[in-house]
Amino acid sequence: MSASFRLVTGSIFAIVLVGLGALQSRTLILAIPLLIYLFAAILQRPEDIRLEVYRDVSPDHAPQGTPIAIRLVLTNRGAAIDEIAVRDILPDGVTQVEGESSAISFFPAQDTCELEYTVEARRGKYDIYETLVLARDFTGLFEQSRRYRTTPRLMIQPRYSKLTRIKIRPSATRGFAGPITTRQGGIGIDFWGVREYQSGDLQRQVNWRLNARSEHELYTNVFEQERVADVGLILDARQRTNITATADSLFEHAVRATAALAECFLADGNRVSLLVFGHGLTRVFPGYGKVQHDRILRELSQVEPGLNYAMESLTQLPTRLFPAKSQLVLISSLLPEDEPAIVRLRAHGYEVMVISPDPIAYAAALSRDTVSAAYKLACAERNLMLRRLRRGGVQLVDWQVTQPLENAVYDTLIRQQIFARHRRIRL
Amino acid sequence: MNTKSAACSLIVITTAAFSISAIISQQRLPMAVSIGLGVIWLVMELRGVNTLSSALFLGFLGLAIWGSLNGSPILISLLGLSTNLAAWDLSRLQTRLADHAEGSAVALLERKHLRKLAVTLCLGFLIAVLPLIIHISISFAMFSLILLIAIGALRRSILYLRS
Repeated sequence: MSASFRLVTGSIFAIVLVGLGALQSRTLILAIPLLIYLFAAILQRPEDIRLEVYRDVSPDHAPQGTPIAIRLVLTNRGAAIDEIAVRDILPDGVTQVEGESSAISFFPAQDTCELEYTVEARRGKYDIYETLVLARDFTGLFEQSRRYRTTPRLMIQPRYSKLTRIKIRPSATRGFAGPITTRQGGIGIDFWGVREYQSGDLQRQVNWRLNARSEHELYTNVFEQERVADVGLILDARQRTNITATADSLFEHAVRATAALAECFLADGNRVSLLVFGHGLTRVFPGYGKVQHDRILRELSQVEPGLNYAMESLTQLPTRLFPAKSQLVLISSLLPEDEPAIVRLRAHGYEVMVISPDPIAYAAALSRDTVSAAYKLACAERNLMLRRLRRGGVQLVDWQVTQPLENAVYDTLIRQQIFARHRRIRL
Repeated sequence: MNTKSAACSLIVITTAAFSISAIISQQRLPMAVSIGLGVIWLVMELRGVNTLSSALFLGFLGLAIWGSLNGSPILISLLGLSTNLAAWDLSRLQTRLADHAEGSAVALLERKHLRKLAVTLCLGFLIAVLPLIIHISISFAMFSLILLIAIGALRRSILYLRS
């Protein structure tokens, strides 16, 4: 019962009581316009609201920051409603950027009411939308509210910038041709060595210069085999490794980096899998190509950092999920106690690369503290840990998230590779 | 005519009706109160503030009851009360429309609302005028019986009309 209804009925009672008390018919007459008003309101009161609600979300999956068009269509399958107010309740993380998400109108029977607006959403999966409908009579004395729930799926994937090719050299490769040199002779591009001619060798592989120096033997060139490899991406989603700011978090940067790395390795033809280690274990089984990239992005759009005491340490990482001697890429801001676990992975024969978003620089930027003793100590502790990891044979990218990942990867990995190649040539 | 201008016109008519009614019955205080309430309501309406409309509606209602007890012309009081009711209704409508952008749907809603409101209040005014023309003397017991029958009939007629 609305306040206006109480006010009208109260006024009628007051007039009647005063009229009866004063024995004045003239006063009683004053109640008649109010009674007729109330009668009209009761007559037009909305009772049985029968609406069909249809929602269209387009596109249903997109990178973060893409405008998403939402179209809401309500069809009145019941009697005409004098006044209907529709308000679409946006889920948390979704912000309206254009259009109207609410409307008020007269709603005849079998008529439709459409709302069209554009939203932007944070990374995540959205599949529950609520629409609040308020139906009133024309006086607004009676009001009925209904909530309609629609469930079209919207997946907002992380937005990331593309990376240039990262060279990896795991000990074990797969049987298909790819970009990774395998330290084995066979078909490839880079010269590997020379061996005696065997029947079936191609004529263009014969080393004619060496044959000219030999009298009886024929020699053929052997090239270094190039293959694809198994790459296991491990995203650290432990709550302890995350730092949350008002609109951003360190974990979001890690997710974006994982998406960029997945695309980079899949573009090279590698078999890539994903393991999210945090609240639980979430896994995308190994696969190739664009379909696998979609699977990984779909999983990354849903991951959230979480707390699980059973998985507080990287020693609990189930390495059996990854093929032996494959390439592992750990995306983690790292905790001091993670170092032995990572070195142990290396000892088990895995090639380990760590992309580590710097939590100290991130926290310092938030608190604007880059001079305190605490900051300097934390930096020193982290640098020591990173140095130990490098000494343990781990490829490490110390990433200040204010810089693009591309720059960090180039500065550390690609420059190291170029430097190593130059040193080899000089030797 | 949009809702705001209609509401302003109705406030002016209400104020004028109650002022004239007070002048005719030679009562200065109700006249001053009526003008005061009218000015406050009009200023608030022009500024788009509708928070006090219910209180102002009750103020004018009180003036109508005061007038009926003190010999003011009932016809003018009835007119004032009807326009007061309409102005209050339109104030509430404006509050409900405040969050929504103007468009064809809102314009249609306003048109339909004004039409229905006009019909309802005219009907109310005409029905209220009838007892001033037709005088019947009945006992209180008879009146109570008629009232009970009227309530029952009203209920049945509402159910019939709604079905």
